Amino acid sequence: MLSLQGLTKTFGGHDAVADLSLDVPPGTILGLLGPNGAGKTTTLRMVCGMLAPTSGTATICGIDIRTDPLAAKRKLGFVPDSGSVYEALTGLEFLLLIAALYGIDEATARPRITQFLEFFELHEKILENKLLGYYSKGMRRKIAITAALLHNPSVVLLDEPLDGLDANAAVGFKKLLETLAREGKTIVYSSHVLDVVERVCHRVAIIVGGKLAVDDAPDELVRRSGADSLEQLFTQLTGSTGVDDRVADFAKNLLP
Amino acid sequence: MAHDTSADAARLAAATPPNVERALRQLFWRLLLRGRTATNAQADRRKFKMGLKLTLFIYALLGLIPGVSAFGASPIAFASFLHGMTLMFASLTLAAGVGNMLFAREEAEILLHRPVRPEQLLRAKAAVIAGYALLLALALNFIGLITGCFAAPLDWRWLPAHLLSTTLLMVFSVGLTILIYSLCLRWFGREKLDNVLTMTQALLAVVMVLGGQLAPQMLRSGLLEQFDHTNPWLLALPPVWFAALDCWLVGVLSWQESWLPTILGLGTTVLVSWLAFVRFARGYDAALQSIGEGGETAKESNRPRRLSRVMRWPLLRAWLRDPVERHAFVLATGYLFRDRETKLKIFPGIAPIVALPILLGVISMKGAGGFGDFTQFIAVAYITLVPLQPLTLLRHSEHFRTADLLRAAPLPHWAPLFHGARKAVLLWLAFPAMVLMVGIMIAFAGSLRPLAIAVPVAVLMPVCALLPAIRQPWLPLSESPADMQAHSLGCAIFAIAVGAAIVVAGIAAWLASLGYLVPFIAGMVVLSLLLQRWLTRGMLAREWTPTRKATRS
Repeated sequence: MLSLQGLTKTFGGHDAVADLSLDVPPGTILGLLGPNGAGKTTTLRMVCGMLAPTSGTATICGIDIRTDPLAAKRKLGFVPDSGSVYEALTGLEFLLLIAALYGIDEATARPRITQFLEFFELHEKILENKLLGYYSKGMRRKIAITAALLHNPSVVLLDEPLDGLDANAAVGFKKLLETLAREGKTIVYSSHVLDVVERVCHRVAIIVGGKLAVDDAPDELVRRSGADSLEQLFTQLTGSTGVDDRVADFAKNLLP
Repeated sequence: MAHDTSADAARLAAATPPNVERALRQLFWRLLLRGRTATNAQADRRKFKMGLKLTLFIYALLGLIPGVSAFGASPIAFASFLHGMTLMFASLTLAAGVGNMLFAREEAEILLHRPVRPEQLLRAKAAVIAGYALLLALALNFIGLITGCFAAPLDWRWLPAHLLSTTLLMVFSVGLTILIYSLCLRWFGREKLDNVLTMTQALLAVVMVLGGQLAPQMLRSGLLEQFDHTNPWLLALPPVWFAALDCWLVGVLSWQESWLPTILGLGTTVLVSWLAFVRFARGYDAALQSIGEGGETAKESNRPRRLSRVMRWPLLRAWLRDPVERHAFVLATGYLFRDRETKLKIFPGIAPIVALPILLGVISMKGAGGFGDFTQFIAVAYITLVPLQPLTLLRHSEHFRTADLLRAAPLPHWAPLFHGARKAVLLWLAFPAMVLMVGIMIAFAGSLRPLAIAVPVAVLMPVCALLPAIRQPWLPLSESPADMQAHSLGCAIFAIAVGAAIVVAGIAAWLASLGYLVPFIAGMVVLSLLLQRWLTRGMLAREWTPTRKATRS
């Protein structure tokens, strides 16, 4: 269960996130959508304790991230959009480090890591010997996802998780998300890829200018708005209109 | 996050898995020893072992100088010399490594959402930094630890006493460095932190050079031989605090003769450690958060950035007619003044190059009544080294993957990219360093004579700045920092640059005395232009295959 109440983050007088309230029950995959700079990543960072909110609360399984950060973080798995890892560690060293931070001993962690390896079709030898700096972007993303799920968190926050994954891995990962949701995990999926969000998520929240614009099931949102698709609704809400005209103008000027 | 009550803190401590700090220490040791952008696990382990062994060996050799002073100097002077050297070298190592380790930008993304308390994170880093500094300190003190046991009136007690005091000195040094950086972040904010870190490291590098020159003078001064523990000059020197502790523990100084510096050393170490590792550690997550906040706090301004204004200067536009050169100039300038990694490597590196000749001049002034001719030649020639190191460093960056854009571009050759970066280094670093140096020399000499040797050397500097690309292709920010050693210039290039500059300075001084300086400068301008053209042609004659050597993604 994830609950945000009046979550606000102000940077230099500008509200990056303003009075955001959301409740995401267990077993739900919530898609978090918004144009660039809407406040999606800032919201996720506040939820996982990387940024202190200016006001408001974020509770993970009933634990406030500000008052009991360690307990809240143990319930949480986060895949940041940057996919940052320690490049000077091998994949295995990195995952064992992450396991240790969650109090998982090596004997317990290794079989779990092997399961993820098999799922993502990664080779054990590469994981043991190759430094993360030499992994491809997709492989690094797989390691970041493994690092987020290794401790079996109740709430999973994903910021552009498919970025860099090949088509097979992406299909497998989407199925994994559905399975995790069936098992009662709360999942927040932030992305710019609307059709993936539409297919995978049970609910969609669209943030515009740091504020929650709409929050409902994708079909319901489309039906209520009278739009043809989620994409059309998104462009309506985010004020991005006249795309066809702009494309025509651009092509005319660029390709005279 | 950083606002737990004591009851909360106790509860959290109980709930924290016990091996978190150990795992973090293990992590930071690996990062420190491999570097954040190591290449291959096995190869780097071997490279590291060799590198560490060599570093320890060099430190042990450096320790020979204070080590043998055990037999000639008084125990307090000997111990002060050892602690002074240790503090200087450790401070430099710490200053170079601590900023990057404490405030790594990617760390927030990797660790801040994990169940790790900020104090644990900071303590683990401090333990690793202190451990590494202690390792270097022990290597530096190795000979002194042995010679001290055999130099009367010291005895075997010197060994445990000096080990204890060196450990305390390192705790003090690490605590002080962390404290300074924490305060800088608190007082100056994230935007200015990079500049403050750079300035601190440059200052420490200068202090090390100054200390290395002044320590022997102090030993000769007799201030330590007639040790008075209430002397305020001595009490201002941390190495003397720990030396007094040594001497008291060994029994060569009584408590009455040593209590003031000893208590000062112990008290300051406790205070600094408490402030750095306890008081400010609680806000460490906030510090990391602010580092990770990126450009979100950047102030909006309608004014163009300073660099775009500078690029409109007519003379600069004329100097940078080639568009590729011009944009390489912008790229290099941007990294020289905006990128923390680049600034932290370059400025502390060139600060001693500028400081050392000035110091030599000051020291020589005492004996020879000013900057003597030879000191002037050395001082001016030394400045020709200023562009060499930054150009080597500008080739390496954590962002080396971005250079694939340059490789993919339909550029016939890398030379314009190099020339742009070279001109940036000359304009922003080398020429200002020369102006500073000559200004100081003129002030000391009381005449314009230093100008006569500086101008021809300055004319030669653009030629010297071509040397980093003489043997191999040079693309800006295109190589991993891990490959830096393979691309170092080697002593020969440095020797060529300094040697040529000394010759030119000598000829200039001689011709100036005969009244032929202006024709000589004109000749040097022509020679410099011809040499630049010849060396550039050599570069262009070499075929360029724009591929990246490593397989790193």
